[in-house]
Amino acid sequence: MESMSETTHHGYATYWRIWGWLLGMTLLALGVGYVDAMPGGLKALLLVGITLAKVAIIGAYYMHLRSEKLDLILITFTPIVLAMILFFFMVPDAGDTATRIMTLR
Amino acid sequence: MEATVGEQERILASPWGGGTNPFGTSWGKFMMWVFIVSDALTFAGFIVAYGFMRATAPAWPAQDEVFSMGLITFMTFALISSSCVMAIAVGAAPQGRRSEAVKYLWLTILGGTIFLGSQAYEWAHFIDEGYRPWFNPVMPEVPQFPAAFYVMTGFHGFHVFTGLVLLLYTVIRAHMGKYTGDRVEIAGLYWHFIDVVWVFIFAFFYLL
Repeated sequence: MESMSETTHHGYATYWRIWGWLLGMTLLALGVGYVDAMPGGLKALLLVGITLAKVAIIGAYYMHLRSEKLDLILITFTPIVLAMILFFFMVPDAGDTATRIMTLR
Repeated sequence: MEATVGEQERILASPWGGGTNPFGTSWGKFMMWVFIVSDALTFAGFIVAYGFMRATAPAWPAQDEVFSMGLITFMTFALISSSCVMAIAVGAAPQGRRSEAVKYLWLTILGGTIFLGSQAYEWAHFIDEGYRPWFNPVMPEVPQFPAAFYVMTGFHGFHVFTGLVLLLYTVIRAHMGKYTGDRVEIAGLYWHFIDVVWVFIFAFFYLL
């Protein structure tokens, strides 16, 4: 219901502001992706960081998670946690090329 | 026995005692969240498998030489914009501002259609150049590249298509006056999830 009061009190300015942030972060990610001089590990770290930040603000503002109960918010973390477990369990199977995950391109 | 009765009363009075909504949402909205979580696991599997394939591949094409990054950025712009207008429709619907909700729902559908049309164009171009899910004409030693492209963008595109069907259903119902704010919000959750998945694909497949 907080979403309703939010739109009543502030119009849709919040949504447009978030849109601006999302576009800004998209352009930032694009810039990071095409800086050839940047080490692969740093590039990967920055892109993961920007991606998670974008997902967090879409979830919090557009999907209204910030006004949901903590139980529901915690449930939405399960795919990220399980994906990380899957990722790190598969890294050793990539053998001696595993480190290339962090030094792509 | 008295302690047991007290314990029962405590449980019945808790959010999990029955007859209440422990998550503070309608059943439909909660089920959409459960679906989103399970669907996110599917895409997480794809992304991890892609990472594994890429780590074990002998080489990987430079994406900006294969794809038009201008088009990909435009597609991202269309999807993010559609998410924004969807959020506005979700804000308007429960307040009874039907015409406003309908207008923004149509704008969301427009954004989604532009995205899907651009993706169809990108696929057509990719197919024309000879890329197949099992064959890479430019780097034959890396068939994983087109395989990952077709599977990830294909599944995502199918989700966009499904989202458009859901939005059309919602907007037609809204035109008929047979809609509730809750239903619009449920459709909105699905649409934002599609945006979230694209954020991952954009970063990991096109940029990294």
